[in-house]
Amino acid sequence: MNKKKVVIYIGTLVISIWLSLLLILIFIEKVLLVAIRNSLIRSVLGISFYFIWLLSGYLILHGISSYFIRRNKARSSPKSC
Amino acid sequence: VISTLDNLLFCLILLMFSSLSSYLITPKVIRFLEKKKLVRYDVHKPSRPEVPHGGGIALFCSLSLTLILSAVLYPNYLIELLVFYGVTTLSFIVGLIDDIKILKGQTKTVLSVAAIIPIILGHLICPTRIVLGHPRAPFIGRMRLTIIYWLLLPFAIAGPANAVNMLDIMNGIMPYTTLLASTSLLVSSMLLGNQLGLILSTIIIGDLLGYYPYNKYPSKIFNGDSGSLMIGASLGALAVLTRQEIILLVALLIHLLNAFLVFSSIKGFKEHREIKERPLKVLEDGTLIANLSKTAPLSLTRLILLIGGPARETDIIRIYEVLQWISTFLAITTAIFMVIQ
Repeated sequence: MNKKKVVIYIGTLVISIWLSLLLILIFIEKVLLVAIRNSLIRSVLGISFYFIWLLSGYLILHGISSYFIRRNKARSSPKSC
Repeated sequence: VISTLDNLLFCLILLMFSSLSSYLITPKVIRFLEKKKLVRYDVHKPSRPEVPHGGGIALFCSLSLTLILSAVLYPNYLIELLVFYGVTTLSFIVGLIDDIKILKGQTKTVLSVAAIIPIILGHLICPTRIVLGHPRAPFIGRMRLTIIYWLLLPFAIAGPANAVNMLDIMNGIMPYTTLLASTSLLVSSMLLGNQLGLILSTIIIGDLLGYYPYNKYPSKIFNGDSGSLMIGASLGALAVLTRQEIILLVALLIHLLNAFLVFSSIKGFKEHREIKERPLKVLEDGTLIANLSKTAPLSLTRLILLIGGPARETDIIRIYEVLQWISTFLAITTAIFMVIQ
């Protein structure tokens, strides 16, 4: 097992999630909640942005996993001439 | 008013008492579980040895004793300590039932959600002591979350409890990773000047420190759901009571990432015994390989094996330890950002 590679890949993923979490928190609290005066619209937009953040995380993670599954399958299958 | 020096001394007493009690209680629990034949196979080892299952009993006994001592040392925090004890007891009971009589995934999740009840009751009875809402965030201060906070509150305990439980997959991973997560909460409590956070994180750290030697590779005891659900729930309770939810979120990023991968791939709450295909396969010599089937559930361990190739159990354990150090570093950085704000 290539431990260094795993730590670099997953470590980068974890740091990216952390950074995106900070960015989304700051964006919603400092920009969205300040710029919009209507409470209902503020809540709906805030919840929507958190949902979009989660959904994009889901798509990215599944994209990464699918890529590695495909790559491993291609490596393990016998090569045809 | 307790001075800083007294505070440090009291915390040191709590740490020593907690670690010593769990270190002394665990061998007795091991003998008890062996006598009662409450054992499980260690499936990641070629010889598949039988290991006593239910280390949560030792963790809970030690935690209970330390909480009594902390109520004597800090009588002004009696209500908060009672609420904390209520949450840990409920989650321990749910875990213990699951250890003895296997619960369905959905039932376990619903029951773990109920562990929030002591916090809500505490808030209703003593709203000035158990303050809920507006968690702290870096660069922001108190967040303006209102609707989302109350929507997410039921999962404030069930979330970390189940996330910790789901990563309790190999020898020593649960106590090691949660020990580091509680250390980050201890450091952030120091940085933010939160005495209650300091007390509660010291209790959890001591509990895990004394227990870890028995659970590390090769395990002499398994945590069981009673151990992992209780420790996860206690971290959640600590975060809610001290308003360090965001710091806990970062400290448990590895656990949450794993839970997110599993939930999104199996599409719902299922007990691992209910899932037909396993995310990884164990070869006869004990080597672990990723399951390449499209229908197999995703998990962080599967992703690790997909990236790094076949591995031994110890390799996976080391990787989780390093990843948890990264999460801990990020959690402490988040706390520093809160102080800067």
